[in-house]
Amino acid sequence: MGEEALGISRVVIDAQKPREISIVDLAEALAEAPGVSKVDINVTEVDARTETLKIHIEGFEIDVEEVSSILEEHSTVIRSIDAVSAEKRIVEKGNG
Amino acid sequence: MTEEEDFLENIREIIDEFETYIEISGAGEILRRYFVMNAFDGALTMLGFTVGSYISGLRNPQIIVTGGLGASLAMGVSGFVGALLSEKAEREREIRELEKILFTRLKGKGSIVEKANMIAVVLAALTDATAPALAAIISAAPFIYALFYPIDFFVAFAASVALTLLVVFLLGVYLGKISEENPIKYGLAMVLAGILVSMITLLHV
Repeated sequence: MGEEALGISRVVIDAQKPREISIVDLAEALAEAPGVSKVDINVTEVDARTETLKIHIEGFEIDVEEVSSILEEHSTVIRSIDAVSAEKRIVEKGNG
Repeated sequence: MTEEEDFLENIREIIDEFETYIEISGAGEILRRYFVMNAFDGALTMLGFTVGSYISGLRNPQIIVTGGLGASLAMGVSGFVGALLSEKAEREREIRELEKILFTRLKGKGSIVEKANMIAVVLAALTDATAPALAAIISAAPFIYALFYPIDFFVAFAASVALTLLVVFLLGVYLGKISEENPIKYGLAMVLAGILVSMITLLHV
């Protein structure tokens, strides 16, 4: 018998980072955040020093604070959070 | 996983992290440049000192060793401090520029860019310090040997000159390889520079 849990299941973030930071490393770091099961990063703009990104994060009970912290650690600035999905799910007792 | 596998895995992770920092900071290029430039400096300084001393009639290996190593120590210390301060200033300027572009504070947040820059500064300073010292020690090696084993001073001198030119040649070959040009041509060009230094020293003394 499971219990109901409410959490963030999708976040779309508009961000900007220095060109030296690899989006591969960034995606891997974000994928390790609690609650994250999938990360998509698209580079939407490039200039001499920076790249603008659209980051799609999917999972359940995504820790948005942790995501923000990981981005900050990678010198990536959040310009805006463009979309969020919150979801109610039945989760197995004792899972987590 | 066994303890040994754990340990190796940790070492691999540290190396990976280091490689990431070097990639982000672009330090690879700077370190290569500093290494070659400063090793060349150290080698040719020692060569000039050795040739000048020999032409002046000096036949005491101890003086060449202490003088040469003293000079290389001075080069090492000045290289370390100079590179540390100049690289630090340059990288702080870059971070400030990025902060303006990103409209955010990057300094003091332990960000990956800050860590990468710090590693680059330290590595640049260490390279600047050790490269000339290493080249000078290789050049002085025959005289160091002469301190402990009885060999003719001229033999030590000739061996020192040959070793120095070999070091300089190998630096040229390295440059040739990384620039994907003819490494032998680069090596010979560096040797020519070395011979030029010796000739200039000969004319001055």
